Amino acid sequence: MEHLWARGSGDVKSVHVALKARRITLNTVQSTLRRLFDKQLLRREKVSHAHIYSPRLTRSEYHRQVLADVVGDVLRGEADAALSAFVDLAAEADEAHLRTLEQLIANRLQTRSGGAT
Amino acid sequence: MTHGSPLGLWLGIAGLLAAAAMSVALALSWSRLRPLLARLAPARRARILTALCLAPLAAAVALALACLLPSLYASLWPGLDHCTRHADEHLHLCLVHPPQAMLGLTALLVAAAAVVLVLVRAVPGLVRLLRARRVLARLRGLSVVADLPGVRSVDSDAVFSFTGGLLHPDIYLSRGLREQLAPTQLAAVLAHERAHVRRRDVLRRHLAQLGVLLHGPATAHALLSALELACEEACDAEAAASLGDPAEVAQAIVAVARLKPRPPPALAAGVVGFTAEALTHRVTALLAPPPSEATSSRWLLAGAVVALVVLAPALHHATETVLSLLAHP
Repeated sequence: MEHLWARGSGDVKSVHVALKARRITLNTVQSTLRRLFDKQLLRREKVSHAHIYSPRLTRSEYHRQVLADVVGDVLRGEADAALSAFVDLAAEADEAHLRTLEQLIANRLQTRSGGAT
Repeated sequence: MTHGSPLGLWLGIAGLLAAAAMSVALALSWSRLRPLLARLAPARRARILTALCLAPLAAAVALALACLLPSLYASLWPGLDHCTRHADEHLHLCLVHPPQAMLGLTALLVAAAAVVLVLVRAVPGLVRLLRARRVLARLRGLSVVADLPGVRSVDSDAVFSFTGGLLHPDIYLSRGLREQLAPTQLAAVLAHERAHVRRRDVLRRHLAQLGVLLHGPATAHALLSALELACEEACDAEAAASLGDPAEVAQAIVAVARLKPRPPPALAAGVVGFTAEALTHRVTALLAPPPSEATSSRWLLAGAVVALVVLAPALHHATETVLSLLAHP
């Protein structure tokens, strides 16, 4: 993805050349690009015999999407086993309940300020 | 001379019996214990609840140790050798004189079934923990160090703040929450989360979850719920002490709860459960005068260790007598 974001587009061979330092095979690059296309992260168009791949999302759009997915996982409780939240992430107190608690706090503050005068 | 079942197996059976006895005793006494615990300061309550979660495991280990102590006493002072005091056919839980009795097949099968049951109960928690660690690792990679000490900032509109991680916990704060809270409310939230980090509450809760595998399901649920609430209240109390005003922490709790999506009124009765009840407990605990601290838990622990050392021979003999009933005739 980094290569395609930097270059705009590329075929399997050009991506393979760019990733040469990682010592991965042409087949691995080909199947990875196909999987990214299947996940709708890349679009492709056939030019002659080769597929030219290009990103569907900009880098920042992609990061936003990944972050939204992870935050969604957290809010659904997928990470509950390893965290303690300030207010339970799944807490859904109703309006009446919240108003009662706010009234309790207000009464306390009123009593305190009354006692102070 | 015949060879019996290995000493480790007999000690394991003794440990299982001790764990089961402790678990039953706690299940029977929980309804009387709960109101007593509710009167304690939250930090102390959390410590005691953690100990209660781990009590069956601690009882198993303590009994196994108590069974081995007379052997150690005998090696220091031969006059204390317990094995010479009873007939040869009596089961020996001793490092010097290995047990010569065989464990009965029924007892062996029941013990194996108990161990398998505990392991099966552990699987869902382990799966949840591995999934949670994966999600947190991804969130950590997507978050950045904030301009607030010890805080990682998450660039999301969602409203959340939590302490995540078992051994090296971090505080995660969403942009959505930060933008919508007043400075004093934000200070209360962060003081609360820093208390979680200092107290290692995520790790504590996880150890408690392992410990309650040896409790019955109802007691396990009750203990973990009470521990969760005690930890939250302890962090609220620390935040209140840090800010100097418990009412500000109470206001922050309600403010954050208000920012969360609320169920439609028609569904509210079915949705509001423990979390809403926990909110009420936390707010009322903050507004009430703080309970006084009683005797330190360290003295209780020291007393338990002294009792174990002194009572070891009696426990050892009683355990041998009970285990003899399970031996192959």
